[in-house]
Amino acid sequence: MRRDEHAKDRLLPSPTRAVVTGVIVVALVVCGWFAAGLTPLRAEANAVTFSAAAAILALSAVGGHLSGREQQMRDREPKLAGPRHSLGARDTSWRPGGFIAWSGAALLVVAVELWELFHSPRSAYPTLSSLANEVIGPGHRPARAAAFVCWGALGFLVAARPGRRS
Amino acid sequence: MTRALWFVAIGGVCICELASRTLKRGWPTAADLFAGARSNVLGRLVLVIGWIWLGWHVFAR
Repeated sequence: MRRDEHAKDRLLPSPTRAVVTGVIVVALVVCGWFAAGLTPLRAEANAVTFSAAAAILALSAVGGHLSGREQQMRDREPKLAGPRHSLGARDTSWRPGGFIAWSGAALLVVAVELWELFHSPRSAYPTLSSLANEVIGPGHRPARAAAFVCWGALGFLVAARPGRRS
Repeated sequence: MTRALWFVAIGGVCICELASRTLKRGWPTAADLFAGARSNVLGRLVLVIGWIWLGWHVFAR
């Protein structure tokens, strides 16, 4: 198992890593619950959102730095085993057809959004935001808090440096 | 009526994802596109700015 192979190379041992991850998750949930209770368009909501974003980006940068050092340690050790072959790997050579289809789907979403945006009333022409507001709007605190946690988790994913695949 | 437009648009995205998982060869999944965007600094910067905007739009605006 690749996970087990590299466990010894980690700068943070597994229990510490688990504790750090747990603390981050709990902090994100608490922050999400707090943020979900705030009134939008006010300074507090801005402050909490941007502070959380800054903290997530900083933690992601630290995590990326540690991962980079772990990768350097792995690169330095002699390669005893042969090259790894991933079973069932996808064909990553992309063809134009796939891109055209994805672009068409994305353009369709944008076109519908613009169509709705420039028509009124909003109740008859809902944008993505107004549809989302029905589920995670200010009146729906638990769902809004869950959305905040998901947004935070997405931030870790987006900001993290992608690992090299062997 | 206009909600039906949203079903069509989201349906299009779902069909693309299903096609990419069924056809495999040469069709990127949404995860492949995301990984492709993350593989360079500019793509990551765009994703991070988009992510911050999303948070501001949903939770602060």
